[in-house]
Amino acid sequence: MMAVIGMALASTNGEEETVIATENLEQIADLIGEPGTLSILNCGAGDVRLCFDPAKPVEMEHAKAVVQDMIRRGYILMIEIEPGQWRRCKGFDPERYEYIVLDTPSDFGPIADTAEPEPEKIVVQNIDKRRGRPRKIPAGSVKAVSVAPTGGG
Amino acid sequence: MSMSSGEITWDQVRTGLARIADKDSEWAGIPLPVHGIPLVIEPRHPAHVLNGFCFDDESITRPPTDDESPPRLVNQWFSYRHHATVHVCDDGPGTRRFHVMLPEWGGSRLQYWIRTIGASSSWDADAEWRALESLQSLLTPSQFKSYLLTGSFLETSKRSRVQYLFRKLRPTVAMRGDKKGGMRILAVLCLHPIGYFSETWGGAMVPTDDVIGHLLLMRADEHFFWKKSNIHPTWAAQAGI
Repeated sequence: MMAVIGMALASTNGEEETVIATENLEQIADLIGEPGTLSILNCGAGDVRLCFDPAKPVEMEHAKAVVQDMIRRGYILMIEIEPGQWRRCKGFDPERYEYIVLDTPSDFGPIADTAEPEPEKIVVQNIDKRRGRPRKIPAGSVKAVSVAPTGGG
Repeated sequence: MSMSSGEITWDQVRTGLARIADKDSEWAGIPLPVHGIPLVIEPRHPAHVLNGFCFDDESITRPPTDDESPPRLVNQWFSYRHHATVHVCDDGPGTRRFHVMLPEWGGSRLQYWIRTIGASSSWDADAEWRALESLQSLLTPSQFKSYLLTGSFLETSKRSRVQYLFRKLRPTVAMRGDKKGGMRILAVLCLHPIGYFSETWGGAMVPTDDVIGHLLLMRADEHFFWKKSNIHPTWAAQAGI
């Protein structure tokens, strides 16, 4: 515990620069909303962005390795499959650089709301209807955001 | 905000932790502990060694003695009669039991509020700005204006028609309209990636990153969002209502 803090102190000793320089912020801001970006929410830097850009094979390989590692570690990846429509990523095809998501019945429209069931049961109702079809989505064509496993609250 | 010698700043510590996290491929970073408010960390996270840790001038220099060991919690419940949480404790097996009653009133919320301000020294203001930019790209202009001005915004799930009130530094409130034109609270959903600071509304990440996590989880997989969240009773200080 204290070793970690000590290493942090040692690694900063005598250095005044911060991890992300101001000029990099503009580059990061330019990336927001670009398809093919993967944004990882990070407690130090705010968020870290990776890119699936076929023109940058080295970065693409790095992004692939990071995605595979995050899935292994229980990170939650969310993919914007259509503008404003997000799905949780269930897997990743490393050979084809594709996220795997499940389509759900709600993709074809909202669940009917005529019966006014008890609110607590609504979620349960939806769980039962979750019979998704796996679908592969090229990582270079969508926005993705990754969140670390939750520590409760 | 400098440490005791004045030579090393919290920003430098934060930078050092970011470098360690980068070196160890810890993609979500390592939370920065603060003074007097223990961290609660997700058990699988490598920084789990920081669970329960906070900076404390005395605890850094000497280990706690047996006399300082906290009481053992035997049972706890909420008393509607006293509007308080009753804790039954002892000092270990075979010792005399005693109870402590903590009233759930404005004072508890004020304590959460002030401790949350204490936790804010863990966060980087630049990171919060970046999170705001990210959030803006995810919201409608009116939602983002609402967030900027009130620290909260509403969104109705297209799937379940449940209305969510997403709040900065507070759990998300799930509501549904009743038949009398009002709203009924279904649940208060609390979730912090990596971890959070004990007895605060603050997580390991900057406040708006927590909001982004809630929002995208709700949009992407509403059931999973409910499953992963802790549900606080509306009267509890944790709920922030």
